Amino acid sequence: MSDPKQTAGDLAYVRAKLEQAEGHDAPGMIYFLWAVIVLVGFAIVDFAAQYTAWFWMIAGPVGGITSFVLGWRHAVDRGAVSRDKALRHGLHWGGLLVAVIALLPLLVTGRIAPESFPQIVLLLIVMSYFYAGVHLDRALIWVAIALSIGFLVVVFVAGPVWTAVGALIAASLGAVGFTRVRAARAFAK
Amino acid sequence: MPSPSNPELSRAALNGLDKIFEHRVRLAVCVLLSRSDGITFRHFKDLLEETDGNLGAQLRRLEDKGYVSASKRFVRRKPVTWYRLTPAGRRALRAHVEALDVLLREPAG
Repeated sequence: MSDPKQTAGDLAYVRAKLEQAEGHDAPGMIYFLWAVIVLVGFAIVDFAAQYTAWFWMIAGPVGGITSFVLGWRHAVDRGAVSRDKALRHGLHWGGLLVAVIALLPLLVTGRIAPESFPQIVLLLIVMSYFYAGVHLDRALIWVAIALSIGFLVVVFVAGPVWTAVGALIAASLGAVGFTRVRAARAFAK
Repeated sequence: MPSPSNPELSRAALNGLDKIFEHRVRLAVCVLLSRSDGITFRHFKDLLEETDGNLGAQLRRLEDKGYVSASKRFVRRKPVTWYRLTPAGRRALRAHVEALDVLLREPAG
């Protein structure tokens, strides 16, 4: 049997490599994509509110599918694929879409006021990003924090604030995207 | 050396250790593969920071033992070698990790 110290050293080596391997899953492009979607989608609430629902009904699922494809291609290009990880991400974000759709009967039957609907959806998104930060990618907790601030602003501040909130969230997504791009470049060196 | 607290258990655990995993690179390769559906040679090289020759030799040992399988596929029209853990490799890794767990939990003799 090998020396216990060597065994401990080997296990520490494997643990370090595992942590390194887990470090940079989603490509920066996914965060940039959602930064643009959020910037446009939130500004629409202030300047063309009648198109908000249409925009998100299209941009949400299309953005989600595009993200999934980008993520899978990134995994193949990087040289490490995991169907389990892809499924986890898909179920997580798919769950958010299902939750938003599940709100619609409450809206249609008048159980929630139309003016409250965007705030409730934003709260669902806050929770999704928070749990994504806990279970999928720790960096998303920062986006959840930005979203939480945005939620408080849209609830307590009157007037056209959605554009500013969207800019804050887009900036946080962009920042995470840049860290991912940097990490990927450092890894490939 | 078997621990005085449970010599039978320690002896069984020692027998459960697989010599092929006594090389850290081979152990790391199999652990990483156990958490994925495929990893390329290049990704292993970047992650484990090994030379082509050394990494290739360790992967060949694992292939010869039947713990790892290799397949060539094209990614963006370039041939890429993908590695996967075989069922035998998965069983061997599990047995090795369980044996290590028993040994590490035994008090120092």
